[in-house]
Amino acid sequence: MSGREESEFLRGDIGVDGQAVEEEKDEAEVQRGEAVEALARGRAYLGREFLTWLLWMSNSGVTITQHEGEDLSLLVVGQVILRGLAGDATELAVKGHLSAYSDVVRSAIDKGLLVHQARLRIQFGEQVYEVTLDAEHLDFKGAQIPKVLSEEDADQITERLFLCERLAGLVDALWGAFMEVRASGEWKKKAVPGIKRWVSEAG
Amino acid sequence: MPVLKGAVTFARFRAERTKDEPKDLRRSLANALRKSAFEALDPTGDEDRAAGWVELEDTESTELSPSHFLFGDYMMVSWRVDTLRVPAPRLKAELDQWTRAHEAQHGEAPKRAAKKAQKELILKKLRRQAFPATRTYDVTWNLETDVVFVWASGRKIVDEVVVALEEGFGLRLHAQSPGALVERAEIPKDNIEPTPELFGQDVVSEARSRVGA
Repeated sequence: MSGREESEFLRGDIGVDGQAVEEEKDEAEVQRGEAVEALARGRAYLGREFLTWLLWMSNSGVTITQHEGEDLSLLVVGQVILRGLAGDATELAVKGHLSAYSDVVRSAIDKGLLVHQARLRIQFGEQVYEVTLDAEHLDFKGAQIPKVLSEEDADQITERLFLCERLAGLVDALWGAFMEVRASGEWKKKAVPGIKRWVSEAG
Repeated sequence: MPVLKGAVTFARFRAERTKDEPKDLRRSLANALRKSAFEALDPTGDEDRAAGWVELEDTESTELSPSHFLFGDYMMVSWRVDTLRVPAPRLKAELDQWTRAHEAQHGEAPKRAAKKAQKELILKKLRRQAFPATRTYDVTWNLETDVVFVWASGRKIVDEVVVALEEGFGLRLHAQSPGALVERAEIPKDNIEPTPELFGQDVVSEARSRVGA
């Protein structure tokens, strides 16, 4: 065996007879592996549980938590992206104003596809904010903040930043409310059965 | 300049200083910025990409004096990235033209080495004619609360800016992702394993093995 052939053998590219070893990778298995990897990476599964919990909580229109003495409630609006594993399906994108509450989405959640990206319309006192969050990084995309009231340019910049930081604070408050439930017995006793009941009622 | 107007898209971090706070913060910040200030691409050189700090309101300026990056409690700058790309179809077209001329003159196709050398010459010529594509990504750092926003959505550029901030300013930037938040909160791992009732038991078993839960 030549030096090159020995290297190829040690890599597993060829067998002892010098012929190429062909591994047929099942595409479904590859995609499954990628979907599980994406779920685990950076504990994205927690982000998906968070967004799914928010969707379920917002369905009943309740105040989710309080922040700085004001009630915090939300609606999930616009496009929602669900990811996970439901048979051969690993991703579902649904568009439409309140499509997040549709039977299609609830049915997908029931089968194991959870909310990976959602646009939240957050009501904070008199103010309304919108932001698209993703489950893996909780990055803020295409956010809309209340109108800046300052007239001077320099003041407008700092007011804009203040509103962005307030939005970040609101998301932190929502996350805090979720983790309070998630890390306690309430999650398995109340929240998970509540979510399962809601999604199984989909027509 | 998304900080000033337009779409509000950002990745957020909490900055932890790894060195003692300097006596003269303004000068220290200015020095750090100028050390990695943007330098324009040399069209006669070999580099295809240049990146560095510029002023938020004037992305051609690398003066980076405190009055141009300090706004109240905030440091605000931009990370500028210039890339030089020679369009591949143009390169191919010129090389093909030269090849045909060579064949017409010499009655045979050019040797591989000659073709390679000519390709390098054409590439250098086209680089001198090309305009670099410029993109800027704003960065805001609230110096009171140590909240940092990187105003970009692509993970690659966010990571690049994070490295520039950490290395340039002696910081450690803590992401505000679910994984990072629970690590810092020191929540017992048993309490935060994936929920089998939602994801499916087999999926959870595989995911558990990947997070080491």
